[in-house]
Amino acid sequence: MSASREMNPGPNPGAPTAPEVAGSPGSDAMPKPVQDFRVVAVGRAGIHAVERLCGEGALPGVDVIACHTSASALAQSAAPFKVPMKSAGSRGLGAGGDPLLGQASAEGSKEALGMMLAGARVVFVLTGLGAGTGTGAAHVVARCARDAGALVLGVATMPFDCEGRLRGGHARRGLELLKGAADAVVTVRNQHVLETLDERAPAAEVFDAANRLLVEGVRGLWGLLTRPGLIRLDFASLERLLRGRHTESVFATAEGSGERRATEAAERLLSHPFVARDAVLGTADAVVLSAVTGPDVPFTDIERAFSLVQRHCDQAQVVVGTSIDPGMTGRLSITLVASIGGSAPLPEASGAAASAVGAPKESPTRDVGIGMELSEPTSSMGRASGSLVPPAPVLTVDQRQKALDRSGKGSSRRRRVVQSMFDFDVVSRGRFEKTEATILDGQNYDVPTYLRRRISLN
Amino acid sequence: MADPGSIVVGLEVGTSKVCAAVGEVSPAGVFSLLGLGQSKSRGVRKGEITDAQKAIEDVRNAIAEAEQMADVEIRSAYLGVTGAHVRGETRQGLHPIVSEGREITAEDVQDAVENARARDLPHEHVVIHTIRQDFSVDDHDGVANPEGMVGSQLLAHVHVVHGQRNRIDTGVRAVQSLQLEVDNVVFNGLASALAVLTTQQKEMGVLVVDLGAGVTEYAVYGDALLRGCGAFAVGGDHVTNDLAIGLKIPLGRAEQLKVSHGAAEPVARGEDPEPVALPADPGLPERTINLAQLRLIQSARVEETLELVARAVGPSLDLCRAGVVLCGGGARMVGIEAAAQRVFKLPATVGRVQGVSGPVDLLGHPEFAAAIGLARFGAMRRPPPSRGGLRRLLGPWFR
Repeated sequence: MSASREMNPGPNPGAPTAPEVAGSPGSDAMPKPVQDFRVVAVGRAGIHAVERLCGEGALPGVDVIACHTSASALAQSAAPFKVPMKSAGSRGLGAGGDPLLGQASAEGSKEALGMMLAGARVVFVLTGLGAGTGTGAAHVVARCARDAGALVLGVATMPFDCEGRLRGGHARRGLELLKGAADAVVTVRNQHVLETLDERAPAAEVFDAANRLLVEGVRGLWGLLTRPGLIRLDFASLERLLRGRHTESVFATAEGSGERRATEAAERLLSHPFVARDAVLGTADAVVLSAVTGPDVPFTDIERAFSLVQRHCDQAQVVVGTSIDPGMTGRLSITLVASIGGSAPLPEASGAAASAVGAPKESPTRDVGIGMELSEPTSSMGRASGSLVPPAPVLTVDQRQKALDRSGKGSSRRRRVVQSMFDFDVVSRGRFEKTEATILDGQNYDVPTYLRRRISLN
Repeated sequence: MADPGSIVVGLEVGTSKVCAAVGEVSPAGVFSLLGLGQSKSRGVRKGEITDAQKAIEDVRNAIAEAEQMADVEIRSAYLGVTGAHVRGETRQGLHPIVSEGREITAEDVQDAVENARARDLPHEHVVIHTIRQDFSVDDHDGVANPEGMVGSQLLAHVHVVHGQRNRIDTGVRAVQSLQLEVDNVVFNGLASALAVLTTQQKEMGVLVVDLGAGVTEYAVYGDALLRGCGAFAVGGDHVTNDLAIGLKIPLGRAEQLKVSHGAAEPVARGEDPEPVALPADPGLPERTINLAQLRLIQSARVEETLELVARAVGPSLDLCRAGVVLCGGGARMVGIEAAAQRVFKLPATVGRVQGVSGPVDLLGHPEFAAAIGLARFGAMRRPPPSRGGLRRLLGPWFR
């Protein structure tokens, strides 16, 4: 597999010296990733998933970067770009399940990571949480990517329940950190994967299924953004939906074929174990729906499938996109990404995005945006009519009086009195307005000392 | 006009004033102060920017004044950060020596320091400074430089100063929006210490307290090593606020009274100061202020603030044989030395900038210590400009 990759930097993929090069800053000889999309695999689980991603045929326009604390695992990876993460404790032998070591290692190779991530627009951080490297390093990688200005989407697996409470705890903490660092995180809970499979499925199949879901996540999102679409789901709208929300997302794909493909796909999607669980759609606040169809599938099918799914999105802001894949004759596949319980994006970011996209504002609870192309003409029309307002007519004194009388009697609708806002400076609440109270040892130090110490002034 | 490559600028965006100190590093590496610009600060509370627009304007004014006074063009500055979020902690990093012969290499030292640095930072905090204290090789403590020693375990003691990323970035952004580069961010408390302390004092052990308007910072040295530092969001503004509440006067009036009649010590027994008459607003009866009350309120606050520092410094206070050095605007308070002496039980003096040549009237002002210290920090960081040679020839292109 690795022999077929021409971009492999090392002269010999097995040579232990090859990955060392990337660790030292300023090695300009290293080829650098150039694509807008980058997939960064962190830790063993991430590298396995990437292996699968590469094995299924490379995604054009995607650079795959692998990073790991273990040099040997990294050497076996087929990824064209590699960042070894080495620190005092690990010595290139892996983090040994210690997230702190993983984090320290990642912090140490920040420079190399930054070099690899410079210029990216979208970065997927693929990892498995619970062990050392993924848990400790994923959020560092995500932060590096954010520093590089990219939209960062984390895709992470959570450990099985049987892996123990320590790992579970690590994973939860790692997820919190990753959520803090990435714009959105899609999690694949191994335990849920297990529940979707046959009880007697062999272990290899279970892990394979988890990896498949991880890869599907990346592939689906990538397809969402790059495939030529009829209603194109562009980067801007995805960014508007996800940027700065720090949410945890649910990801699901379902497919239908034949006459009943629309209902079939929608039903399968709604009964998908990740979606059906915990009434995800009811609580989600942002949903991306993307349909991929064969060229022969009528639009009514897509419409029907979308409306079936949307019926369940109570409060969510829904963004839809459709695209055509010639290989999908007669089939309809829907990809859904729902983000749950995020904080609202930063006000200036959302404001700028809303004005840029001209988002329809009529219903605040359910706001269906459909790409830039459709909404832009209406807003420009509005502007055009504004410039055609004639200048005020020149009136004589009599005419003016008449006009005033008329307006006094007539339509109250036009002369609605609006209570205007005063432009005054708001009266200050004192010196410590807009600051956090200084609370030390349980005392509020903003309260005068003599009051707290009950010192009599007389 | 000075060579632009040798110019270092310290910028302190404080709660009461924004201050830019311009210094020059001579080819021999000697730092001298060229000028200083200041502006009243309106967008900062408790050391943190609360109104970016106003803060930017104030920074612009201070920079412009500094440029005029020093006759240089300012392109970059060392920015001071402070606020309650800045914390200093002593940490330890363990590093086993596994190399053959167990000789400690420079890399081992680096790793041990990194281990100490990287641990358990609060969420969204970034490291501002990593300052090495000393090392322990196995059970041999107090090693200054373990390189070349033989041992199986290296323990690094490191003082890490960290603060919240977003709050630091707010300040950096504000400066950058004026097309000024930020060379580095520096904790104000350490900058003040850098300005007012001599090496001798650091060796003997000393506590520096910077009494700012919004924030009180401290740094404590013992045996020439930084033992601790930190900041509290309590300062001169709190004194003013207390006076305004206690004497029932507006804040502006309270500030004036604090400057003209305030003192850090209560009125002594038997002393009976004249009441101060306040100019009355039209239509209101004239008021008088009882100075004993004023000083009671003020001294309570000052004492409490210093006690806060004393508690934070803890046992390291015993190391301070050179006493306490006070700086910041609060050091101008009448009787502050006596108050500090009483609280810390150590001799206290008001600091003046040490080891810097420049306009004498500027060096004596304790409130400029932080800004001058920032510039001095920059001077220490910047290698002295090379004389002549290729670099000067290519200077305009390779900067």
